Amino acid sequence: MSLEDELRAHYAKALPSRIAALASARDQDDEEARATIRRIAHALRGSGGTYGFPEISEAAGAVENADPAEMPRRLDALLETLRRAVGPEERARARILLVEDEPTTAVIMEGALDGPSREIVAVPTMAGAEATLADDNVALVVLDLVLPDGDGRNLLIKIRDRAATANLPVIVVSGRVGPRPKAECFALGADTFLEKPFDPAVLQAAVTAKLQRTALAAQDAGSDTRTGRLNRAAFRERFEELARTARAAGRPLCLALVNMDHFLSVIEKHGGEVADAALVRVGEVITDALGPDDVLGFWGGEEFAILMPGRDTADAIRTVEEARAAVRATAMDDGAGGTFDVNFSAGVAPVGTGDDIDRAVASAQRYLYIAKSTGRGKVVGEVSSVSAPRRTIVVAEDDQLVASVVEHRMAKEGFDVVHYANGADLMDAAPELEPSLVILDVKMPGMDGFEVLENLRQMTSFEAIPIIMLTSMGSERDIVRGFDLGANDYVLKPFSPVELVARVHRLLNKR
Amino acid sequence: MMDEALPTLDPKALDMVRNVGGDALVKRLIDTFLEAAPPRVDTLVTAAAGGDMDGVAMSAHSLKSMAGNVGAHRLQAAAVAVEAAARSGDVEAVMAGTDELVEQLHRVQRELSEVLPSQ
Repeated sequence: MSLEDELRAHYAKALPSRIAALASARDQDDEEARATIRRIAHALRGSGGTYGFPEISEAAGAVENADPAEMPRRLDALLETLRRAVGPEERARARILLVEDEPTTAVIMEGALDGPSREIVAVPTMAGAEATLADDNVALVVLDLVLPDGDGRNLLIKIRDRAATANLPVIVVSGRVGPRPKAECFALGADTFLEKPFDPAVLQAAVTAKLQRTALAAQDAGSDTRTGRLNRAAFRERFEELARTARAAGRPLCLALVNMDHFLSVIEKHGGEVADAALVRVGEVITDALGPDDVLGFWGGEEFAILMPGRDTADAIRTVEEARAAVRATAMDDGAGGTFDVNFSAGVAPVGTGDDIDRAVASAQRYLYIAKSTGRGKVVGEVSSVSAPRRTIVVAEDDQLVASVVEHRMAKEGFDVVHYANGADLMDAAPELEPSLVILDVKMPGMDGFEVLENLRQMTSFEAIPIIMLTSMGSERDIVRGFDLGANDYVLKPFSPVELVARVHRLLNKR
Repeated sequence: MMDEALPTLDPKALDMVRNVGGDALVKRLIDTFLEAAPPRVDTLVTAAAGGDMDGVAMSAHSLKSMAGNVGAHRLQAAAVAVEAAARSGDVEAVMAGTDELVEQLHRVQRELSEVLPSQ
């Protein structure tokens, strides 16, 4: 910052109190108030020019010399001039939220990030961070993962879920962790990940870069700050609109979910900035390949979403495939004079009547998963209802809590779930069922999971249906027994819902 | 037990801080460390004596990062060991590690008060 700029900034900081004094005197409209106004105006006339605001000197001079009748109008002009002088400085002050409970790290961060155009708010807890995020206009978050009142990842999820903060830059700073939590943080929407102990200069550079881009992108509301595409909230709005129109006109509408392949390795190899730039480029190339009615949005992380009104599924798949070929053929700038290639996988699904965006996205996600698990770099969708995977999962589980976890997760994946609290009930209903997959708890009162498994395998309609056993930890012999009786897979309890989902998809996609 | 090759204080850590905030920031960091680390160790010792392994792990985690910030590698290593022992519920190892941690803290305190930029 030059000396001149520094003087201006310093002066501008003192102006709000002058504005407040002038504005309150203006409302009084008596001789005493006019004297106050003249006194302040006189001071401003003298100082404005010195600090690099000649327009303030001029407007203040006009007020100082005004007769009572002219004063209100001239005072308004002065107030306007003052507000303009303050405005940009005030707006440029970026509020940075530091969520860090460990005092020495907080001191280093504050020292590295503080500056004339910055305001640092440091809080030691997630609760404090949430309060700050709800009340204040925060421009960037630096987040520690281990906090006294919880796991910082939960805060990251909340930040991304809330429309107001969905695109807020978040820099995660954490102790040494394996590649998995790191990958998970990126998947949850972290923009940058720094390992402790970190070089404060790197944090400084990362924050500066992020803030500059935010400032640029802020000129374009409704845009994602990384890619300049519609952000998730704006995309949701467009979805409502297009789904309504499609329904009314009886025309098809398709949704595609596009996920970059091996993007983590792009980030690791070329850094976050180059990776972000590549995402922007991918957005441009996809837009060029789409028709004028198609809508591209940034879904978060490394994922785009596309709405294609008027296209049936086959047409939509063809369109996204063209976009994919174009992206594949585009050389990405590696920022060091070289180039690299990127590719994506995509899932395409028709938006059914009455589908909300979550359901539509869940369907597209299933096809995206198929694309990812069958070699990547391809576009997969439901072309005809004949080849469509059936969507019902039957669960027999006597523990209501486990059952509700399974139900919730599978529903989120777009499956319908039918739950039975014991094996006998399932067997009673079995002749009527046409599920795509069965999940059986081994230990159930009455008829246990093995007996159900054995009985189901004797029914023609269940001969080829994948069956997953939920087996308790420590009873490995049950695994063998399950396989002997015809189970396709098993999950050990207590199980991770994510793992169960992965196994379900794997079994369904093999068929 | 500790790797004797590690210095008590590695000047690189403070140099990095000096790079972005000068001696003033280094001083603030050292002051903060000297103010915050000893009570943290006290909390840890109390938690260890009471068998509160979660409390030990939380304090050790915090000390690990404080030590890293001032370049106190051996203190950091001691904190890492105590945190790991506490997380696996190994009370004996926590006790042994805590003694080492206290010893290392004293060394770091001594050396840090000499590093403080002359006023």
